[in-house]
Amino acid sequence: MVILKLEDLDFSYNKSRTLKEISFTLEGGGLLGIVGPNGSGKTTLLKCINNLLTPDSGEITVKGEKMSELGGRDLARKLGFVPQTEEPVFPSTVFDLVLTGRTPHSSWKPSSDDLTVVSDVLKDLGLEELALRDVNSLSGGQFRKVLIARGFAQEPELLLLDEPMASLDLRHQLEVLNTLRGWLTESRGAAVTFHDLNLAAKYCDELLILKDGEVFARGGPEILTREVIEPVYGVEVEVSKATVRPSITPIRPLAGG
Amino acid sequence: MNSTVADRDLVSEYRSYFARKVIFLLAVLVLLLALALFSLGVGAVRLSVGETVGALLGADSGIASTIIWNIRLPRVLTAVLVGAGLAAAGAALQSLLRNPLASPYTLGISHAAAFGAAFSVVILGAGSSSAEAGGVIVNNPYITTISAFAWSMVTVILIVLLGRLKNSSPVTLILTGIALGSLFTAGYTVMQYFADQTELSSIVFWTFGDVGRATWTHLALMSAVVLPALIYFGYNGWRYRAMSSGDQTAKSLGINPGRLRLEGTIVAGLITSLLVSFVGIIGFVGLVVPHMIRRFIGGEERYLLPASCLLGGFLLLGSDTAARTVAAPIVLPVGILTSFLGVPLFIYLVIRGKGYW
Repeated sequence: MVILKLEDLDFSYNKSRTLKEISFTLEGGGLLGIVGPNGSGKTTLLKCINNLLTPDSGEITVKGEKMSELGGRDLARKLGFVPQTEEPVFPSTVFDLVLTGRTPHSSWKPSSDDLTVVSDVLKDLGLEELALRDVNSLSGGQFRKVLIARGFAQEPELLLLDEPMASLDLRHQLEVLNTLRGWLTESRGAAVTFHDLNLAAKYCDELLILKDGEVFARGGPEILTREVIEPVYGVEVEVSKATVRPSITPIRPLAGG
Repeated sequence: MNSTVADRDLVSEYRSYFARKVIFLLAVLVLLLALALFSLGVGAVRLSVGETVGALLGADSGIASTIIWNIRLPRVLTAVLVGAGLAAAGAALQSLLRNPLASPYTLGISHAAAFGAAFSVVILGAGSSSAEAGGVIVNNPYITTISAFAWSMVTVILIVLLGRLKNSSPVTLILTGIALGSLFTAGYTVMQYFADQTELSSIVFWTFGDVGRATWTHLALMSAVVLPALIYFGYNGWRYRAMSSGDQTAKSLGINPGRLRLEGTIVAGLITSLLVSFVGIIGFVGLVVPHMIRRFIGGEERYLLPASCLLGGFLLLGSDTAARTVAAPIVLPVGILTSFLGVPLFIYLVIRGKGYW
């Protein structure tokens, strides 16, 4: 089953084209990694998919439904978005913040099913000790996990995560990605932007490599080769291909890069 | 990780955590009722609890009944309604604008109301004072009320229209409110400058917020707007929770933050305009009460709004009771007392405030 399909997506910020003719499809159960240097359009792409930004042209469909024709709650039940960061203004418990993920499923107050979903998600992510703590008292990494938990609690068909690994330590990175893999089923998909190519190679089924708003390469983890990485990032790398999933060691910036 | 952790029942932990908030709400409600009963008894004529209850139930038709039904009960109910309305408006605005300093004041509504009252006295000739007892008589109180309300609503409409230019972002709404507040303060000063002595005293008298002015008719008019508004806020409380994570997150959760913020601002503006028009300016309730609730029982909007109503009503009734008795036989306007109480309370909350701002 095709979860996500993009056709010829174009987007510009103030007339400068940020995304150019992006096309790809993501199959059910798949984890799509979006990689590329800073400013290559990764976050913009996620926001276009989630209707937070309106593309100039092109079509986005999730399970066959056009995103441009969906709005509000209908959209929020299909698509979840975990932002890079968020600044809580007022105190709130972790449980309450994750519970807001249930907003598209409930009317004016959460049901007991909603509480159960949140409880399960917090356990899956190992956040139960923090459930009644104030979000303002959490470390950066813990807070990221809480935002991810809210995305899981939303139970969308496609979950978009923007740099979820930033500010997580090694253990938390692996825990979150394992939970994400466990969360995926045939009827769900996830699209994640990554800075860490090794993590992307280790966990993703599909990779989309962006350079200057265009798809530079697309395919399984095996497309992460020297020939691709060096021009995209302007960095000399060593790539070892002991398994299907390559591991990348950065060496030095390329001259003029 | 291990089985004991996996077996933890987070749902019931959360439920009992939530139940503690509800108990706090019930406690404030009981205190509010007790205070109301006490407040009905105190004054120039002291009534015992028995006499008060008797008069309320209609068992007594003498002097006690007259005092309770004609003087004290409308005053007590007005204090509770005004306190609840201002506190709810403040709580909603703080969540909607994601700003701990938001309150009915921040949007310039009270300033506009004061200008409107001055406008009615100076330009529409609504005020005059009588020498006897040093009292001030506003010839036609409804003109003053209507003028105050009309100018407050002009402010609300301007904020909303200007806010729409920038998609109702919190910063736009707050800055517009502050600018309009300054404008009306300037206009108010101009009115005072051109007022004669009688008019000047009428204007100044009006700005002292005083719940003793309200009659049963006023109370009915205020309730007709404030009660539905409180229900509206209560219904949307959970959405406000999602909005306090920011507009982007709110949108991805299926909420239209621009529209909710606009609606909420209009409703909060409407309540404030109406209350201020009838009872004058009562500061700090709208700002301080939501922060006290956040400090005592946490910030979740589903109970923040009802809790603010109850505590706001309790505080204003307490202040008014104190204002009536502390310098008896002089009855102080409650607006003066809330300003004196509000400042130290606010500074205390700021200094003790940890975790946010």
